Amino acid sequence: MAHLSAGKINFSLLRELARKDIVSLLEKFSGTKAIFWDEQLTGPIGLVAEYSFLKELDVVKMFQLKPGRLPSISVKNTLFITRPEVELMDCIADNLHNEENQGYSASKEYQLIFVSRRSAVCEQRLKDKGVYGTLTNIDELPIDFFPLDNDVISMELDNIFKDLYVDCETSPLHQIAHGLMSLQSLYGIFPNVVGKGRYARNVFELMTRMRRDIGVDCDPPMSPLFDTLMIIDRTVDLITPVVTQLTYEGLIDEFYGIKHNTAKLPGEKFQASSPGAQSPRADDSSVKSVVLNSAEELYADLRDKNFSAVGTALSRKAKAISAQYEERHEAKTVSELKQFVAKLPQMQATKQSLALHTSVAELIKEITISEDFQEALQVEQDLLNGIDTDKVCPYIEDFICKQEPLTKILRLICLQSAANSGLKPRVLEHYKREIIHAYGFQHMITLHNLEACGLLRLQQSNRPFTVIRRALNLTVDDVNEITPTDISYVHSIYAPLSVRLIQWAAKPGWKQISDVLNLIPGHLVQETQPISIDLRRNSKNNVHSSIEETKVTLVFFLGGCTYAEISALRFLSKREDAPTDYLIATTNIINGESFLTSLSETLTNSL
Amino acid sequence: LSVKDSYRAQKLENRSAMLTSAVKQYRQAKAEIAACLTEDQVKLLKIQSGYETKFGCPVIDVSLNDTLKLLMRRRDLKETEEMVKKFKVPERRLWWLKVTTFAEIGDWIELEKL
Repeated sequence: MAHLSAGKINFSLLRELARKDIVSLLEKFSGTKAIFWDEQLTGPIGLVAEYSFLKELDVVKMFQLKPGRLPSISVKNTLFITRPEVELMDCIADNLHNEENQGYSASKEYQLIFVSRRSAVCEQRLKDKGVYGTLTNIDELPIDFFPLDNDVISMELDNIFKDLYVDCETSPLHQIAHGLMSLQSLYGIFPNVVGKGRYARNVFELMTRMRRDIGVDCDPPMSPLFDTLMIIDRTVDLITPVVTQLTYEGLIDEFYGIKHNTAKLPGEKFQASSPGAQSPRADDSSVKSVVLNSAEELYADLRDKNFSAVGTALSRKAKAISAQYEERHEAKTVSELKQFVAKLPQMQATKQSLALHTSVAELIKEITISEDFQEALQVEQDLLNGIDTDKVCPYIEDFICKQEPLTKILRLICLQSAANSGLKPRVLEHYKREIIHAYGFQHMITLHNLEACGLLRLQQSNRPFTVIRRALNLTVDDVNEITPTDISYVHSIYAPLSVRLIQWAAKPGWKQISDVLNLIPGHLVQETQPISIDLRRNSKNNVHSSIEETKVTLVFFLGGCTYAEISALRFLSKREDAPTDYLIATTNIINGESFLTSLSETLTNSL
Repeated sequence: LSVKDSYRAQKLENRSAMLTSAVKQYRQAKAEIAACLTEDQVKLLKIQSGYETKFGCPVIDVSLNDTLKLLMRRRDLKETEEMVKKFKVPERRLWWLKVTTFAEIGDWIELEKL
């Protein structure tokens, strides 16, 4: 996990803190423990605490939380670790009722632990179900952010966009504000807070209130490590999530999905090519799990590249490696030989990851050269360029008739809606009818959800997107995919609006584009947080003592961000004239598929 | 929303009734498109239940396009025409449906006519 601390700001602190919290929580309960996990938590928690770590804390068994009878295990403590969701409470109540019916032994204790905060609604639910008293303890495990890499942290909240924008459920904002507060306690107060979008201001206000409630005197006694916190509400840019990502990492996510840094790839490609890599388990040999993070040097180099640059990078690396092997012939003296041998393990590792990524790239290429993929991409790029966005797009009609996956259709229609600043009533009606007639009436609610959060909407009198696109130079014609000069390389022709805004904020500043910002819905936040003079002076001194030190901005995506956006921000950080470095915090990582799936509700037939 | 409730309904009559009330709600909310689509669905369910007794295979709750394909597969072209008129299926979609279905069942004569 050394790679976590390699960044500008040490995110491994977060991991250590989380582990410390887990230890102190589990130590409260003496004796052996069995844990029942809320399924949604196992992935994120796995990022900070692996099973062997929990074993040392007397955890004997772990299960998935589900209704019904609990498996009989002889442990002193039974722990339920869950998110505060009412349905999960029903599940726990059912477990406990079953235990009672079996006459559980009095020596057993039942503990309920909420991640990250307890909720009165859930506790009331347990009271209503009559099991509140059965629980010995109710506690919380205050982990909000999980470190994904040395520059990315995520809350791993997958349904947040729907909660906030379709159901207008604002309680997640509290969790977000709490999370940002705990970041402040680790890394110092953010001196500047800027933001844009519907809930950006609410989050800042909640943070201010929380800080006041704790008392400014209790501010963390350190000079701020971050210069700015930038809150970007997802509704500011609803185009980027539905556009196909064309970076290496983005494409892996689009085709296979990356969850908590792990991608599951079809196994058959790998058996022959990389026998040394972790062999797939016997029970699911058809799937190979690959852990993807910057600990792997080659992947760190490839992940942010446009896919068309990956092939050359791979072959260059392959040549470099074989050249290194050749050096052994030149080694004459004993010390030279020793040097060579010392390098061997690392070379072996590089060779292995080279084999792995060559296979992955082959898998991806098979899809990207397919006619289907190219055709859809062409449609996408035409829409982005504003070509015929006014009319019903015949390609989309054809895709519907061919019964292509519904999310693919919805992505394109949502893109058209955004690119045209809303669809004409006749066009929207036509699409809706086609979809319902082709895929069935059960998708009514999904369409309704998309309209509720603004992904689908009717055209207004003016068309702000055309203005925004020109002013911010969102579509670029001559993009160099191999050695990019602009962030637009992540989608080949399109620069993510979100990242463009972030870029402008640093240089030359948002004042210059206030007209454009006014066209984007949601409030603007531009605040400074007062910090005691000593700390501020300290931070000034630091700047003087080491002049090279650049400012660091934490970009917080409220409602999720894509891998392409992360790549684009990394690209900006790496530029020589970069006014600031960017680190990324997000509620969750999304792609078009997962984004739209989180908004879908398919009614199941009970006839 | 009645639409959600309607899917919980165990009986077809109940669901239709609930969808009809959904149509009313949509009209009140001035959601013309949704009202129309829901109305279509009520109509479709009624026709489908008719087919179910007639053909003796499950038809209810499949989409309109799949219903049309089913009719074409049974070479019930007259009935297909009627459905097309009832639901105002556009030319382009009909063409696609015909091509895929006729190709599927290998009806080259009909395919040639297109």
